Amino acid sequence: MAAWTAAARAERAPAPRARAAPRARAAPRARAHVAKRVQTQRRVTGGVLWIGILAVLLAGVVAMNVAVLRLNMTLDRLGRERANLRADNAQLFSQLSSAAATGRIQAQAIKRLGYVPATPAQTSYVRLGP
Amino acid sequence: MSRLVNRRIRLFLALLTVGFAGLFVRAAWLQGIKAQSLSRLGQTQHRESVTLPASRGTIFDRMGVRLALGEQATTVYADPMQIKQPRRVATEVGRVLGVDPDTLYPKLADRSRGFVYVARQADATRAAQLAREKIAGLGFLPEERRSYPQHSVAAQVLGYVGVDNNGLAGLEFELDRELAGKAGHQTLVKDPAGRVINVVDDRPEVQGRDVTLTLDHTIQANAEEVLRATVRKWSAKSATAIVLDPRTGAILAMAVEPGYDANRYPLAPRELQRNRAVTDTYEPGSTFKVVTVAAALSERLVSPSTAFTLPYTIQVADRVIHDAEPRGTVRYSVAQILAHSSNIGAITLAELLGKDRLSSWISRFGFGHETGVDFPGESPGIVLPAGQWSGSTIGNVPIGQGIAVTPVQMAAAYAAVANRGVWSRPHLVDQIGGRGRPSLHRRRILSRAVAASLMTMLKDVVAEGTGMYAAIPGYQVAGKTGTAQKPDSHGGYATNQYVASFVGAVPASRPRLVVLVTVDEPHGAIWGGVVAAPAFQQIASFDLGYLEIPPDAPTG
Repeated sequence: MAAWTAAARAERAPAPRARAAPRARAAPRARAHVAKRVQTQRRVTGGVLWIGILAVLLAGVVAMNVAVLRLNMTLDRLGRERANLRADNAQLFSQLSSAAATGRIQAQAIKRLGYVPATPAQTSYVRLGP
Repeated sequence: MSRLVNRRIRLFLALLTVGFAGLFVRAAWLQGIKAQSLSRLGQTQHRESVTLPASRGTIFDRMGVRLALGEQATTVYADPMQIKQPRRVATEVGRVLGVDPDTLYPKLADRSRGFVYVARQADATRAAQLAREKIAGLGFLPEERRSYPQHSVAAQVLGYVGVDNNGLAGLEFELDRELAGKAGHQTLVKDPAGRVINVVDDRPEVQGRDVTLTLDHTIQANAEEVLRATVRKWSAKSATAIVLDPRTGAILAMAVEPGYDANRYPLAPRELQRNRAVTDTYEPGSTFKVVTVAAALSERLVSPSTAFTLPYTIQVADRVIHDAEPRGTVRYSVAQILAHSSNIGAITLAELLGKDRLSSWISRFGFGHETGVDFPGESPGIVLPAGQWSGSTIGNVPIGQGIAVTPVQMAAAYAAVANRGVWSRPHLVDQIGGRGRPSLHRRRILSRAVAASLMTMLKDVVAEGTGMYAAIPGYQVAGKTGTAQKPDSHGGYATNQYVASFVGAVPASRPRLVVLVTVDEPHGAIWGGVVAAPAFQQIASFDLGYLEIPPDAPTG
């Protein structure tokens, strides 16, 4: 049931508000805003990523240099150990040669074991082959 | 409000900018303008140039026993400018290292010097003990010290090195280039704590090459012991022995007594340090007759059985020469001339040869020339050219007087006879750096037939003649005795100074060893057959057993 009066019927309906156009302009702006925000976020993320990558690379470079320094120190220590071992070897070789001296062995054989050198007359040879 | 905040932010940013700008300018100043000078300063503080000394090569005998090697030692030095109590430091160093403090103190007290040696090549353990005391002003440098573990064995042959490890005598000198190696170099970067953190420049050292000799330390030591006993028994001035392999010329022993400890060479008298077997000459006496007989046989003037009627004396120019033992006129074959060592017989053969041919054969046997043995300072001997012979020279030289030879020349000559007429250059070095020496010089000086005849005659010397004390049971020995007067300073001969010698090859049927013994100025007896032949017998007996050379004497 209509509630309006005839007078009201004679009023022209108010002009429709020009909303379609503002609505059309507001949608691209919002999208652009969103896109810009996304782009900014991406930039930030990318920047953080790059910073992270650079940080890792820098840390890697530092770690590698530290490792090289440690290796050099280890090399130096090993070089000194090698020199010491060579020196010990030389000392032992010298002792070995002294111990192998014929005069000493003969003297020990005579003194401790009562050995005497065999003369040619006491030495016999066995011919094994034809 | 927001304006205030903005202003503060802008101010803060401005301050930051100024701060960073300042840092930037400072960085540019340090890394640009001051870069070179700071870099030089840094290098002097943290860089150190180090010389890497090369280890000297080891000398082995033929059995691989080390005769000379480098040992770790420490050189202690001092900076007198940093030593506050030189007397106390000298006393402490003297206590630890055994250095005389009174000799050391003036060096440590001399403040005008920045470097003095405290002890060169000191014992490393004692030096380490001193280092632990952290005495300011003392520094320690590792060095290599040459050591001869067998002490006096082959001391004259090995020689010695100086304090800087350079060869000064003997084989150490002869082979210095091979043994020394080449020092290297490193530039080190150190942190403030002195730890090496980088090596900037590295040229590695080249170690010295090892040398293997033909000497056998057992044969050498035995020869030296026999010579020591011989010198003692006959109160002789000195004695020399050579043992060599006639097939190759390899010298198995080269002994000189009296000897000395090679580790203490600075304390040994100079005359003991000479290797008389190579550098000294002697008149060989009757051992030289083998040359005269060899020449006569080779020239086909005689055969071993050719006989001569020989009076007791012979006139040669203005001289009268006689045999060693008084006798009547005898008839000797050439073999008997050698067996009985007849001077008259040898001179008779020489007169048949004539001076030119005899002189040529003397040269052919290597006398008057260096053998080329790998040892420094070899003497060529003293041999008069034929053109300078006087009328009486033909009466001296054939019997081994008026001519001077070295023991190594004589040993090589007999080795040629033992080696079927082929002379081989005697040598001491077998390998250098693991590589064999190039093939050795050999030349034929006698025919096989003449060499065989000589060996038979030399066997008779030992079996029936003057060399009976050289006989070895079970073995055939071929050899010759020699007894020669020594020249005096007036151009004549001393009446009571002799050199007694014996040189022989054993086993005579297939000789493996030639052994020569010379005894200088024996007393109590002078004859080679009495003084030197027994020493030969002892040396050769030992060597035959040691080398396991079976007997060759006919059984039954």
